[in-house]
Amino acid sequence: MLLRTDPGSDLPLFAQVAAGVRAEAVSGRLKPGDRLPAARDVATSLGINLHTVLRAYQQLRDEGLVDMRRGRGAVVTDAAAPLAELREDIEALALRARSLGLSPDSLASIIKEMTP
Amino acid sequence: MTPDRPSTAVRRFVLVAILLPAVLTLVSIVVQLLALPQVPATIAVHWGPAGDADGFGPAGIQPLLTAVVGYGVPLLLALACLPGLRRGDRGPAYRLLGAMAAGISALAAVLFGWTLLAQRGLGDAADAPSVLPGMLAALVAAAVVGVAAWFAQPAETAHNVTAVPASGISLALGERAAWFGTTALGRTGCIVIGAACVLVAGSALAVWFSGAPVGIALVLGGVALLLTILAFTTAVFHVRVDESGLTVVSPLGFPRFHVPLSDIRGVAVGDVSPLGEFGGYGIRSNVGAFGVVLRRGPALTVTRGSGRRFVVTVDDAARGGALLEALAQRSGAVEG
Repeated sequence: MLLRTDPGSDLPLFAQVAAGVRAEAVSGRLKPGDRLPAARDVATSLGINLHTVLRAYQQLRDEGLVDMRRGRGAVVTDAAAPLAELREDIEALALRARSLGLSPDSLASIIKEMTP
Repeated sequence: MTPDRPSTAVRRFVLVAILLPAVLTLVSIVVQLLALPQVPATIAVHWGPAGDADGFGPAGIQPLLTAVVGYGVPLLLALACLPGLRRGDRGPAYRLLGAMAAGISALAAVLFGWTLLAQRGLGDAADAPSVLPGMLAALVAAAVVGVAAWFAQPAETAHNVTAVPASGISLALGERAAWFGTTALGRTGCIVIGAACVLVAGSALAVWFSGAPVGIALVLGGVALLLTILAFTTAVFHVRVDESGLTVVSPLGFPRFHVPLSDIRGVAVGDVSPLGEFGGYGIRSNVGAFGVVLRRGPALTVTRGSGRRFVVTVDDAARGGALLEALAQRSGAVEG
């Protein structure tokens, strides 16, 4: 699993970490049942606060993408599988949006506003 | 750039690892078969620490055992090495395994042949002479044949044809990145190591029930336990690439292997065969390389400042390697 953080980005660090994990799930590299690395290791490796990583993991848990289990850490749930299926649709939509002059950020905002 | 001599290395390997053992084993078997009428129907097949015979078996077992070891072991080693050699991989590791195949077949041929011939004309196998001269002769033969087999093969620098320099990630200024992977013992490794544990545990039990001194059974039992514990603690490793370099660590925290960015001269990604390049699965050392190689397949190879390579088999090695290369470049360790 590859995680990248850009301190210059508008997105808060915890959101970047969560987005990184989500991207891995969508690309199919993270499969249901895979264990995420320990939050402590992620924090040390990225040079960020442990609580930042925990917040990212908690957000992913609230979304249903990971399960937090005692002694096992964060485990990817079955919800990851449909994400991978959506990848092609997402790529096509983003491509079409861009050709119409819409950035991925704007597209994301519109999707959030449109869906209840 | 390694000079390209594809056929010589493979031809010589086949010669020393397959043809030579086949001939040595055949000679030993024929000699033993010719001597069979002159030895007792039951011969000594095991000797105690002082050199006196304490284990006996049917005489026909000896040539059979010679065939099993003399053909079987070189065959296994050759099967492990040939796929890599045929696709173009080279190196001192393969040369060593070829020499070992030859040496082991010489050891078996001389040991089994000598101990059988020494029992010609005996009325009772209990009078069998000490095994020590035969063992000494066998060890000398193994050493001579092994060394000859080493020099019969060409010297090649280590080369894996599938390995390509890692690339593909560029880091923005101030960007931080990390890569996490896990590697676990593959099916073949599990079978081989599991079988070894079962064999040692089984022999511990056999010794226990055979009435031999309790100490021996306890030592064997202790070894079996240690082996099983080691097997379990080294069956899974977490692999991590970040600003501190490459870290390969067991979930228990130990063993732990680390290569700092400053010690990285090059990063390559390729397909590694643990059996062919390291002679086995697990934490292995071979000429010029050290590896945590738990299964065949994609692997990350780091060349350290000393020139020695550190290899770890892990899924998604391409991205892990690309990030390690990018981080090493950014830190100034490798030329961009």
